[in-house]
Amino acid sequence: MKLAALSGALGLAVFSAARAAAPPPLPPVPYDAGPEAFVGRLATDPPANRVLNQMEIGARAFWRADYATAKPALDDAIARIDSVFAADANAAKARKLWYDEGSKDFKGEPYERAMAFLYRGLIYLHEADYENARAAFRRGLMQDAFAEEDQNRSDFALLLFLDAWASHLNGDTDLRDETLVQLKKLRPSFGGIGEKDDTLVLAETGLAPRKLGDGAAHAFFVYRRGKPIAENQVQVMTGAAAIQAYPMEDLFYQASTRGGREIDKILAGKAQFKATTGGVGSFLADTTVALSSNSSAFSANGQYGDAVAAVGVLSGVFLIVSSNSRPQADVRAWSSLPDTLHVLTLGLGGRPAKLTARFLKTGVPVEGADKPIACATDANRKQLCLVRAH
Amino acid sequence: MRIPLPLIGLAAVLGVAAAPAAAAPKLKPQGSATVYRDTTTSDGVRGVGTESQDIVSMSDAMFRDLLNVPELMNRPTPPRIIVDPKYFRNESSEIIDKALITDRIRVNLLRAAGGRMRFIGREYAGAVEEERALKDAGKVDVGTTGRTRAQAGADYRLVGRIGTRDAIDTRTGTTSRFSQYTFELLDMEYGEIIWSNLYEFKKENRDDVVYR
Repeated sequence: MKLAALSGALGLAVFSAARAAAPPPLPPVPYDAGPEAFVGRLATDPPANRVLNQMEIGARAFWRADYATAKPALDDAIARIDSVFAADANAAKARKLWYDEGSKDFKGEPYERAMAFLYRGLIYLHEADYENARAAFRRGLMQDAFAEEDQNRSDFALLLFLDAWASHLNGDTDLRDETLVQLKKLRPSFGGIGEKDDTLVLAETGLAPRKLGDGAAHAFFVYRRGKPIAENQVQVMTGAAAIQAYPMEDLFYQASTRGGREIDKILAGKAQFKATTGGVGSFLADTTVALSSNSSAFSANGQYGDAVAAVGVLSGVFLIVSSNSRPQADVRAWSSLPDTLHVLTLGLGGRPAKLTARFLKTGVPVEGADKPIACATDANRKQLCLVRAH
Repeated sequence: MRIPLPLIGLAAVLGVAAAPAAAAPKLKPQGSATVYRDTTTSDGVRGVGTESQDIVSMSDAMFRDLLNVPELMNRPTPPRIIVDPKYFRNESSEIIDKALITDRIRVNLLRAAGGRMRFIGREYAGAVEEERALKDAGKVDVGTTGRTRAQAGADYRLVGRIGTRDAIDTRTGTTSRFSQYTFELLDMEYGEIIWSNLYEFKKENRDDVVYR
């Protein structure tokens, strides 16, 4: 029996060493915090989290108008999103029995990849490089296309709108109008872009979609809307007048319309294997109990009893294998994203805009003063005005 | 010798356990020192976008072709040409610095043409204007090449377009991109296109299943 116990312990130790799970999640960083915490994590986190950290740095620096920090971070994230991991060792590991889904290199879910291109495109807009801005928005659309079933492909309306806006600023009215036709199919109520519009107001409300592990052993994850959602509408105040910004994109919708199809598919294989292994383990465990209870009947000199113990150890090891091969879903998420994005275009004739934003929840203004909207004028006297509720 | 059953169990357990442990790849990513690579070789980081070898190949193909345009090479007075990215439009999904291509064409063309073409640096017109204003104001002398009434006008300008068509198969995770670079030489007085050429390529890849 001692040998049996020893073998069990050894089995546990070897299996523990063989398994490389995702590192424990780091404490959350406040939604409105700057990029500093993630700059630190770039050095300390495993390389598998690099894209996630760069996304966080990019967005958080972007919202602080620190484009010098945001630009290289987003470029790095995009380069890694773009690179093909067909022969990547970490991707191979993530497919293996012994590794968690979360141990793979993070590339983000399609809505996260799309947002990386979106922020990069906005920086190109800020630099008056409208063509590369448009290219970035189009690349974001392609990321979204990865996610969707046929009827939902590339339905990221905000990226379509920004594509049209970049064409508008570049003077490519034909391209703008072509894109607006597509956008009209997704957002029939959107009024379009005025010929003399030269200012874009982009407002973010709410908190990022959440990924929550679900199912047995958190084998898959589900999306939940960020909480709390204190506001879902924006009024842009131009002096005394208030203009409602158009809610162009619901990021939670973008995240959750996949329905976890691909992830389920990937995890289905693991889950199925796990169920089988678990079943075998359970069966052997039950047999052990059954044989143990009858061992005296079979045992002449205790040998059968020892044999039963060995089977028990073996079944225990299979249970360890099973628990170690849990296909824990990858719930790493870009935490600084919003819930909803609103847009408004204005024709200000190149005059500097003095705008404020009033946030509302279903028509009722939320508490607190109006927020100033930060406007920057580019080399062509076009303005990009940004505000977020949190 | 009779081997006790528990030992057989232990051996079986260790055997099962050791196999995957031995097969597991190294966990630490291996770094590598920076190395120079031939610009005409494909990038180590592969995507479906334009790589350095594409830029080198297309700009080399274009400047060689331009050297065979009679309107440029057989003129008693060398024609003046603008080769810069301003009217080389990027309408594609490719984020690219267009000047990488136009600079390479201009530099190679200038060096190969042997004075049979003149190149106008229109993107530096502001710098020229600044200097001319200083000379006009008498704050600097006229230099050694003398004054002209105005900056040089151009006979031809390189124009063009970058276009792409992207396709994705969501079932297999396959991405493909067809890229087409159109180069044209525009007569800046009459509007005629006196030369055209295309550079096109199509790339396809498939990401790992865990990223689909």
